[in-house]
Amino acid sequence: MSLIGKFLPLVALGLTACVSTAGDGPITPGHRPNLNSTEAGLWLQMDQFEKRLANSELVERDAELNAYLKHLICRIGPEYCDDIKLFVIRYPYFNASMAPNGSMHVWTGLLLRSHNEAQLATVLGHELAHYLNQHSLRKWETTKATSEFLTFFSIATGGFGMGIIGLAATLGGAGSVQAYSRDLEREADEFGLDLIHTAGFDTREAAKLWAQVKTEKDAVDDDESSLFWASHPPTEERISNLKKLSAAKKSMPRVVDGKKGLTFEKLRMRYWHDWAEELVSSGRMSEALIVFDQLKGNGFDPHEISYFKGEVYRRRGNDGDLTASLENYMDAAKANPAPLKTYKKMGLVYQRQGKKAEAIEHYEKYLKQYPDATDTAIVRTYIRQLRK
Amino acid sequence: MKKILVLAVALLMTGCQTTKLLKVGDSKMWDSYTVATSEDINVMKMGSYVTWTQYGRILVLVQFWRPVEDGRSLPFIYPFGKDEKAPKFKSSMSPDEVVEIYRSGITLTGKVVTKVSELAPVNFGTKQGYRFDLNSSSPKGVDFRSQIVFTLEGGKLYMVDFTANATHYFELRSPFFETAVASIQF
Amino acid sequence: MKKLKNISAAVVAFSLLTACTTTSTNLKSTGKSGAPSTSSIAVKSVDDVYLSVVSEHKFDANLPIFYTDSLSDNQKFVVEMQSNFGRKFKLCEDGASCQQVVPASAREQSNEIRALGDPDQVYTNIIAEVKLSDKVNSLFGKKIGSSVSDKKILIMRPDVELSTLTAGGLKEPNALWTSSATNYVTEISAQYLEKLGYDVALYKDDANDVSEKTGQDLINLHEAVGISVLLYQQNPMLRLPTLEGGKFDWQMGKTTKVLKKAYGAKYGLFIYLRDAYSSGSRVATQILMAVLFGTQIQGGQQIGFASLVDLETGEIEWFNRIHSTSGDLRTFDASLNATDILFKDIPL
Repeated sequence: MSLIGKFLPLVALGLTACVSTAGDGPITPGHRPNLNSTEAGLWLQMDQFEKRLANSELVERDAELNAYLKHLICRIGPEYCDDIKLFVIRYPYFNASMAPNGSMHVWTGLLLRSHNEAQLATVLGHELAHYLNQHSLRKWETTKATSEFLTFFSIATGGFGMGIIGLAATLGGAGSVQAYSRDLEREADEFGLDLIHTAGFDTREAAKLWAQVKTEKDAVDDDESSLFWASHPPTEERISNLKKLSAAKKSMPRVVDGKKGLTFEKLRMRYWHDWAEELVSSGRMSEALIVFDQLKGNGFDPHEISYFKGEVYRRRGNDGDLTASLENYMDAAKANPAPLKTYKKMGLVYQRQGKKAEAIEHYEKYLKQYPDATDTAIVRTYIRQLRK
Repeated sequence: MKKILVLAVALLMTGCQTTKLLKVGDSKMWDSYTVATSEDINVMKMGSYVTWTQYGRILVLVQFWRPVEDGRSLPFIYPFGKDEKAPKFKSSMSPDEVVEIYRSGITLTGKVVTKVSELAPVNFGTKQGYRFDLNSSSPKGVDFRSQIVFTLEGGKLYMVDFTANATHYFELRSPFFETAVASIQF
Repeated sequence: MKKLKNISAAVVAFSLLTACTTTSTNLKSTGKSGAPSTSSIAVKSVDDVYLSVVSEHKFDANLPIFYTDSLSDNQKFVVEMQSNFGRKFKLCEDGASCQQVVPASAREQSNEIRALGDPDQVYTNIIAEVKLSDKVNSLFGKKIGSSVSDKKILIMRPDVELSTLTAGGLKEPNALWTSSATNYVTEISAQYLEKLGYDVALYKDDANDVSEKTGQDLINLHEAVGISVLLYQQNPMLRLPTLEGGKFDWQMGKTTKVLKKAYGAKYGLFIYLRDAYSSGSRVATQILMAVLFGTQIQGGQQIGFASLVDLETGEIEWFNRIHSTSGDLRTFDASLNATDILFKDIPL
């Protein structure tokens, strides 16, 4: 073998190492990566992970909810509508993410926290922007070059137990567990805002949404929390930037699709109890309280909000929490009849406090309100035990 | 899958992986109650559980938990540093609240809970027991089904957890679990 | 700290799986249903079948020779599978059509080619995109006709994932390698079984009214069951006491009946493969992979197993695993080798 033959591969290696496989600018509709590329590897991992995910119970399959979200995504990015696969994930935290293969994950926690359709559109548009500009691919290549991060995709696809959390945190905008890219985030904010503006949404809602979640994030500062916010930190800089950008857009004409706005409200009303319950069960109590207070200001039934706040206090169970939970349940009970399972939960608290008579009284109120409920047998057992 | 392998290694390394054969008959659990196995089965004793499994813990297991005392958390295997976050059992808790802390506890281990059934009153020996079903998924999307039976006695929580892969193995081993629970005697 | 622990734990775990195992094959004890074949004649192995037809391969001497070392960025190789395990090699250019060539390399020929007796002595052991033969392609979603014969088999989509291990310990899934290995294994298995006289169908999502979830649940379950067999049946350190004495009783469950009805097959073949290859650089082009890695594998991270399932009962009739590192699954020769090992003593 000649000398040239020996060194040619090394030269080729050097040359190709300098060439980024991430394209410049937005990808074209119907984009499929060359099989022999880093991007294809990412797609493969996602596709395989998704086959598993798509058939598991983690995915919310309600047809109307999925149809609504798909329609919304298509409004924001009409040319890419066919390329995008939607997965609604039953996870009560604020997040959405888009993978390099066009899969969009929307967490139910995002749906709960969006006060209106424009806010929801903001996040979807932001994710779409990341995808179109192939941000995760760029980030992956930086990651590899610096070798700073451990098993990028192992984390993303559950290798070390972070699974879906890791997926959103890593493949979301920034593609990084430990730090996000300011530049990529700014780019996605701007591009995303353009997208939703063209689709006819009020871009002022973008800054409002981020301000809302910032309040929630500021309430807690721990490892798990920072993981959730790692890919999309609600910084002051982001909020003020979005305000500026949207102010510049005010004067441009926009078309509003009023009819679809109704569907957002209707669907949210149908689901928010489930989502709220999942949020309470998540154990992240401080955040939950803030979210519920924010929803109160957003036109949700204040008695139902009080019920859920009561739930949070009861289950947190710190000193004084049981008292606080009763206060909230009693506020809920001002509605007649009391919403959801207020009476039963009050019974639980009184029982915890050893107040047997009050517990029995409320259990019986509950049974009277819902004679056909699925938990009547157990409630009757409680009454029986208290009477002994 | 890596997680499974890491777990296998961890089990070996801690030296508590002594699986023995348990022949048909009664066993005394935690000096508290007896329970019978209707088949020869594999048993492992670890700090907070006694585990029975016919096919290995990846597919199916029945865990008899050490009785949980007031102020202690449920003995899930929490990821590093998450023990403090685990909600604590209180003797004054109702069965509904036990379900709630079970759910919170399992969520802390990284699994996502996708469905929880209502409580049903059942026999736990001669004591008043409670049963509920729970569906969960690992972060990768592997679905599991669980059926948990417990009782509150003398200020302590006695729990038996039957968990299996949602495809085939839960259904396959349900009759065995039911028979075992029916055999419990204090 | 955590990083080190996780990597070393995984490495130790992998070696645990593969080390100290005395058996790799398990046959369900012939109690009620018995093995599929009670014939005393040993069935031909994949290698045997391959060698018996390799003489059919004819390379067209008039085809241009193309050196793999001189592949440019907008060119790629595609391997088109043919009958009798033959292959046609196409050189494809972006935006233009493909032309058939004979690949060659300035690098030395792989010893494995000589060992397998391929008379052609050209460098066919390339890593490239693999296209299934038309014949095998037509087997997807096929419904096997009813007949008296028991020789009907459904091959499930192989669960394969091949990755690169970068210097920094990152595992990067490689779509090309995975797709190539999947297609090689599918093609080789299908042709092999057909040559043994089996009527073969290939699983396809949503075909024959079987929901994607049904098929996917079974494929997922096979991973869990297979790993359980590796850990709790075959590994003496972790073997379950109830399985001492070689009792083999593993099941895929009743939903396999759905597959039987839909595809008309009596048996199902499930295959699982995972491997990672160490590298000091990014995956860039085909030439780099062929030149840098060749057929040498570093770091045995391979896991592979296969199950033959009676679709009526859902029981695993036969199970086999690949030993620690039995071949680089990115190439035809090694895929052939791996399939040969995997199907050793398959009771057909």
